[in-house]
Amino acid sequence: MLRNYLTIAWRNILKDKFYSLINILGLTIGVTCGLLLLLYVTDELSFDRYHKKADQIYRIVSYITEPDKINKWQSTQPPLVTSLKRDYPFVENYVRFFPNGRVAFRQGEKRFYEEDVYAADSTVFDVFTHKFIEGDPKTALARPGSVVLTEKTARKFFGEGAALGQTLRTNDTTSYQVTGVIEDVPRNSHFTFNALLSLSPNERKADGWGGFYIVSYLVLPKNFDTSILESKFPQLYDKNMASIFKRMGIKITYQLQPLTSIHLYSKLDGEANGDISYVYIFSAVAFFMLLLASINYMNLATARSAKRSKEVGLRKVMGSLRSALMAQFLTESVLMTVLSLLLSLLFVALLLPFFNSVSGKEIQFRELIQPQFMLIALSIVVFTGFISGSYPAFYLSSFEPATVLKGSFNAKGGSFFRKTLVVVQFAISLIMLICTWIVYDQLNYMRDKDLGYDREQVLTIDYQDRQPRDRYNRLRSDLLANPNVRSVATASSPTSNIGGRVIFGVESNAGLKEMGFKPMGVDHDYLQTMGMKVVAGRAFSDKIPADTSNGVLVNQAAVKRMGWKEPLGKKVLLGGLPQAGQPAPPTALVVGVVKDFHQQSLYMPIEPMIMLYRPNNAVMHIKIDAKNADKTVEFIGQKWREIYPDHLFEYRFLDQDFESAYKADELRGRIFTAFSGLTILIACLGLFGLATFTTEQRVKEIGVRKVMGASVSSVVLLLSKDFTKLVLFSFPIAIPVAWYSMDRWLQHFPYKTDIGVWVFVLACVLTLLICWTTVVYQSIKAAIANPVKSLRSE
Amino acid sequence: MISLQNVSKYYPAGFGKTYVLRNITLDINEGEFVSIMGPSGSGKSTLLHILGMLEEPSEGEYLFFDQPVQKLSEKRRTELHRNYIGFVFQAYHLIDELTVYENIETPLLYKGMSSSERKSRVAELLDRFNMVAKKDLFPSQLSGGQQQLVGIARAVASQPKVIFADEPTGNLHSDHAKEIMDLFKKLNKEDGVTIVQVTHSEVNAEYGNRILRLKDGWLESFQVPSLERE
Repeated sequence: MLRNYLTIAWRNILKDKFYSLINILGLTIGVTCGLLLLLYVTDELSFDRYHKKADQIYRIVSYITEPDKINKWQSTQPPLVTSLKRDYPFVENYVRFFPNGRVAFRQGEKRFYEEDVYAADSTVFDVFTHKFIEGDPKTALARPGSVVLTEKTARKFFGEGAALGQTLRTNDTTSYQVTGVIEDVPRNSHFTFNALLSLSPNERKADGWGGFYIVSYLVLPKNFDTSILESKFPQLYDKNMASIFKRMGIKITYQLQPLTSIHLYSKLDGEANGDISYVYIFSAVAFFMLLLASINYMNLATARSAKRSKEVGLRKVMGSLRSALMAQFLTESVLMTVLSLLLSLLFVALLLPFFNSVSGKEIQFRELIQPQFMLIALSIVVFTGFISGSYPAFYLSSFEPATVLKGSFNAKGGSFFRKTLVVVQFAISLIMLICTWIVYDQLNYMRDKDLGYDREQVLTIDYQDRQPRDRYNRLRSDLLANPNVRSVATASSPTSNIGGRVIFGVESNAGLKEMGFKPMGVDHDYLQTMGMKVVAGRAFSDKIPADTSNGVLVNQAAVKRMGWKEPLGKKVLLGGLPQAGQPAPPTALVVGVVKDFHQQSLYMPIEPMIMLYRPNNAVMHIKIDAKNADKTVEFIGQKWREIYPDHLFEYRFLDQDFESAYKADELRGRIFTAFSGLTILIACLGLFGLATFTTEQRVKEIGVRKVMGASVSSVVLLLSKDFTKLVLFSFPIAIPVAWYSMDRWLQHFPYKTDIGVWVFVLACVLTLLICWTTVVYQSIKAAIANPVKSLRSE
Repeated sequence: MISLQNVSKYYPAGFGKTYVLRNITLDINEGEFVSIMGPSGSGKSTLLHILGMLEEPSEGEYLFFDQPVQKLSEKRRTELHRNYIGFVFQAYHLIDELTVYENIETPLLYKGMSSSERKSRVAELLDRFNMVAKKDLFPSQLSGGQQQLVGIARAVASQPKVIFADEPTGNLHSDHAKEIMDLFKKLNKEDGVTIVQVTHSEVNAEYGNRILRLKDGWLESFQVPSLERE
């Protein structure tokens, strides 16, 4: 029996090649996208699960409550986890990562900067699972002066040779022995590094509770109730931290984040990771694409039901139960989707590199052919087949043999249902279109927004060490000799990412108060180099060197926070309030107010800030001319090497640095665009099929109308009218949904674009145009056909 | 075998109803060959559909092998279609996507026959209807007469007790028509299959042993047919 069904199904596919093509194409696009999105989602969900103790590891993060602000930091103080381990026996293990940032390693003649270098407790490989290529995980970081490299790093220095036992130097006095090489940290990790050092003596001793700068992890028993540990934190604060923070009104508590939920759920300050809502969104998009393809199938299958009605009647007459007929039609739709699955696998294989580049993932084809994934894919596809086939099966199997076999059958039924489905399809397409549009609006808005400074053509060079800064003035004057170098300045951090927070004693309307401000050390060239404006008072000047201890600049946000009416001349204590028995910190006065500028990406609000006058800061900013930029950069490099023959010349462009903050959103935006385009394509395929079908049905009517004198345009209008109506119906459904969801999405951004009415108008017009283009071909073809032909054929 | 008691069929029309069949009382015995005649719109086809359980009477009672048909479940009725009833249509109504062989095989599939049984049964029918050479052709590749032969082969495949034929020769040339009618006669005589046909043609009607005449939904007369023809 099944063979009989499959035979019929297969012959039907071959017989109506046009409709089969539309169906299979639609389903294939739907299934291909579904598979890709499924891969994406699977990848997102796989983060950090490869560790053996994944379900027992927790990251401990800090919640620091200031009187007017809550900071959520990934970092903690060094003694936190050691004291937890000491005090509570249920803490099985811990590991701390001390960030060492970018480290220049030397091995003989080879020298490279390695990003993301950390010093870690020797327990690190006991807590986390990393595969060792060389070395012993148990002892790797036990001795001081050890380093464990990732494979990629090791290859850079040692090629294919053994790295174990070799020595890497960081400067003349410090060297590390390679005690292990591990496989590169898998991409699906929330935390990545290129080399791990054993703790330095200072790091080993670090026991201050005042600074938050290390990342800490705990291993707790399986299924541990974290509230037990969390309930101990108030005690911990009273015992260790109250003495430092209480008088500033700062409260500190911690949160335990299960390792496997960090990537998708953690939302700490400055953290750029995944987001569970995108997992939902992409799953929904995949679902909608499959739904749209299913709708095409349903529409075409029911529209063409007349062709199958005789068969239904006959089978019933020969003793087929309705259920058997439904089974037959479901077999057909499932066959169709399984065919699409096979094609889709091919497409996925071809598109995977492209998808990876769009999504920023590195998904391999072999992940696709994992039995587990295939099983999910197959069940989704079979399910899609069932959904697609369900309504046609239900509808087709309902035909009464007596009616259909008389030959007077007219497939009027189901047309309301079909129309509804078309409306749904276009509503979904329009929602996707509007959403994509607004996402791009927001991304553009962020890219183009006036940051309060000029980020174009600014090179930043990070002095890695303190010592070469002595020769800064020489470098500066050498560089300025080139007319294409407009200005050179230094600041304590790159302008694209000014982090940190320092406590100052500040004169408020209610006396001196301790408060956290974003600190920045700048020299007298900085404001002018960056094109920042002073709105009151004056900037720093090399003529007034006393500013280093007597004068500070504040930004407008700081003025606002302090409620100062006249900011100039207000006192700022460089350091906290004077402590009993300690010398009073130097007191400076506010000498100028800088117009607010963005200190980090636009995901972060502008914070109150205090600028200190410091010559020779860590990060050089060089403003160059747009013309001959390449040559100028070359010139700068040449000068750099002349003055610092021992130091690598590594630079970045400020605007690129700035834009890299939006990479995640941009990637998601690109995925979204691709899929919303394809959604519309699927909907159009369906519409095209439907238009072809209805035009075929009305050929005789058109013939009669033309004989009676209808013009081509009036016939085209007649045929396009129905579909136009359906698309128009989809507008009031799509617009509120799109508006609501994008309004919510934009809530994530402190600086956001307004959703303009014109986005909706244009999206609707565009949808309408696409719909017309789709149907107009069929309409014109029917309208210009010679009526004699269509009338004679009856 | 078939017994209708006061069967009527009507459709709602406006505030009243339009009668298609009125008060039909009728018995058909096993082994009979009955022809139903009447002008267009007299209700012939409806009567045949009711007899074939494709439509339900609006009033009255229908006993098929002493079972009241109205009370049967869909499943039970389907059983009857599988095992007791065969249909032959004016427009042949073969499944276009299936070959001659597969068309004949289909009712056997529904009957749940094993594959080997099906094979021998279809082979036997192809042989009997001289269609062996055409078994892999599709309906569109056959002439009308040949299609109708397949239609009859399909109808008798499941060895039904009764065949309902709705103007089986309506679309055929007279030569072919005669061939088909002879076949019916033979099935009736040799295999003892009860045959009920609707026809316009007096000549074809004569093949039966009884003619029912319908006019405006009324059963007009019973005519004892002349049995000379042979």
